[in-house]
Amino acid sequence: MSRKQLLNESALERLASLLSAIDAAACSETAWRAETRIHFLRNYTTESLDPYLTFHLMRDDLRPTITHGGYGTVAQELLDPESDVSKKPPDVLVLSLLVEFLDPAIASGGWTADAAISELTALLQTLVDQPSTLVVANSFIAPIDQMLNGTDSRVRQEIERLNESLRAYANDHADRVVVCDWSVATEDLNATDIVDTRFWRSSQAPFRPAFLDRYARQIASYVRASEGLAKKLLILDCDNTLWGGVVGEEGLSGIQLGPGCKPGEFYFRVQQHVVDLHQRGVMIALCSKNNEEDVWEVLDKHPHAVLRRSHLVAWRINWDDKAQNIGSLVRELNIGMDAVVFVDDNPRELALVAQQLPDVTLLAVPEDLSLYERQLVQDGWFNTVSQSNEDKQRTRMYRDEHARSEEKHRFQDLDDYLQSLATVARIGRVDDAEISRVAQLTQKTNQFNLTTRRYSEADIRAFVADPDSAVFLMAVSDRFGDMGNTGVFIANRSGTTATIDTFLLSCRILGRRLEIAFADQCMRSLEEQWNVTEWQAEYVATRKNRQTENFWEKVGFRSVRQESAGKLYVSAIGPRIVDYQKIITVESK
Amino acid sequence: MSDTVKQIMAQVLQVDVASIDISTSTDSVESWDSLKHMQLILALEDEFGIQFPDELIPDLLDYTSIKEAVGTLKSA
Repeated sequence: MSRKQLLNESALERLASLLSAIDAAACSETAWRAETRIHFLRNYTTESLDPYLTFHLMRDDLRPTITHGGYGTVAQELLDPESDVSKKPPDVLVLSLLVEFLDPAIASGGWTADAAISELTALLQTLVDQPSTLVVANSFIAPIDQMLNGTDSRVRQEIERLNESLRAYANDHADRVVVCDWSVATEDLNATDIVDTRFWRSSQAPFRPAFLDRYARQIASYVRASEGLAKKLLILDCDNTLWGGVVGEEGLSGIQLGPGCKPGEFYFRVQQHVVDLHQRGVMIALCSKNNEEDVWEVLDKHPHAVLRRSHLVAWRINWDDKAQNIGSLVRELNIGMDAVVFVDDNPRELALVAQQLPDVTLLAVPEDLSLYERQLVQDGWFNTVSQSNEDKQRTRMYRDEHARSEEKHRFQDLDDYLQSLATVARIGRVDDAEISRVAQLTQKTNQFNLTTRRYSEADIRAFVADPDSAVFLMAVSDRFGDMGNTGVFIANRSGTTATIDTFLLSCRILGRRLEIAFADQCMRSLEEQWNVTEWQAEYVATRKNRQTENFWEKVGFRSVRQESAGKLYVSAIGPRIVDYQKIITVESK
Repeated sequence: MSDTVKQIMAQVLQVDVASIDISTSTDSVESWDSLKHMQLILALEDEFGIQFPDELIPDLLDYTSIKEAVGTLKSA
């Protein structure tokens, strides 16, 4: 079976069938058209999109590699010359953001979008400064927690203001930034079809399959466009495709077309969309089995016909085989079969075209006509990005020129950005009230956890009571708000040697050198109190903590022993890496 | 039913269906991370037309407890 056949629309109904369709399609022998690398810059769990996005890209024979950046580290990744994004720029960057993490103040009363607008603009500016990768940004919807309980109308207005500023930015940078409209993707879905509160609370993964699929289709359309694979020609059947009924039998007054009553309204809206596509530069053609005069009568004379003869680039209105008609039409226009979408209500005609012209994309008019317009729109077949090679070059030139004049609106480098966050770390020994939080952090933290030792409250209490042990906790806040207690450091001493038993940070606060600040401050404090002359530290490898593998080296430790499960380090007291001092204010608690 | 559970687990976790037995758990399957866990729960819900309650989801970390939970919810 061809890849296209394996990736049948019906596979999307169940996650298990979707995953197996992807597996099968990955092994299909059809050649890939291109490999495409997509990276998500995000502030929530976007990994759930992967199967849907993979599915829609594979349908166009694009083989995707999808990666996801850190949580809320968009600017850091872009500005850090050592990040994966900088070292190997992807083909498409997806900026995927939830408004409540862009500006947590939205949860409090009297919120205005001003802070979010300037934060978003600064991020976009930083993105546009990067090598000319296409950026696919999302427009914002209400905070997840408010979606199920209703959103304050003022908050909605402010979010709309944020979206307007995003759209304006995208318009001004049309060669670089496109917008996936989340409000359009959600407009006819119930909140319960958009959001799954269970995984939102446990994993910050808010979205349900129905929404993920729509979002993925939109992203895929822009990836396709950036690969030059946007569709160029829309061929439509007439009877029961552009209007309801058969004009040859029911006559001009008998067919259903026009606003106000169903099903004529559905066809009317589809015609409006087709004309809209024409205005965006898509070629429109007809291929139908009719008497030509009957069709012209509708297009020229029907009071509600939106699609007119002048919109058409070509037509085949006769009683011949549709595959042959489409073939000759496409040859006449001198485009590829893979740039064609054909819409028909008759499954036999569609089956014939599928068999004879497998590269043509097909849409069957759905039985439930209320879905018709959405099905025509949802894959963004005709979406384009105004990014040609010339554009890319011009962008580079402009970028150099404009860089100086716009400097004050953007972050110049990573330090500049990190400074703008005004991060405050409050570090100190734990008190009684914090013991349960410390135990919880040791139990739940997987990714930035050097030793992954799990402790109960009783264990922590024992450390605190022992004069040869010390437990430190770090609370973090920045200009957006308080992130709470998010780091734990536990050390034990034996003589003047101190061993770091546990060192962990919650993944929400990574990417801003807090790990360096926290380690350094705890060690300084104990060097004074315990007269430490030598430090020992460990890295114990788990499936999830790979990112901390070289952490102790980064702070200035020397590796003394390496085992399969990890590494042991020592460090004499002395200068450590302290490149956090300009960007983090340290307070003792 | 237990065959279907195995099948879904195999599809989502990308392992051979024959390898799934009472010893299968997050500890024994390399690919079973938190994302796969979420997909597994959703796939099982699709398949059996059930919905796992919030508090149960974090505990469904091996074949046996998944099979039991599906059985209980199906008969409820």
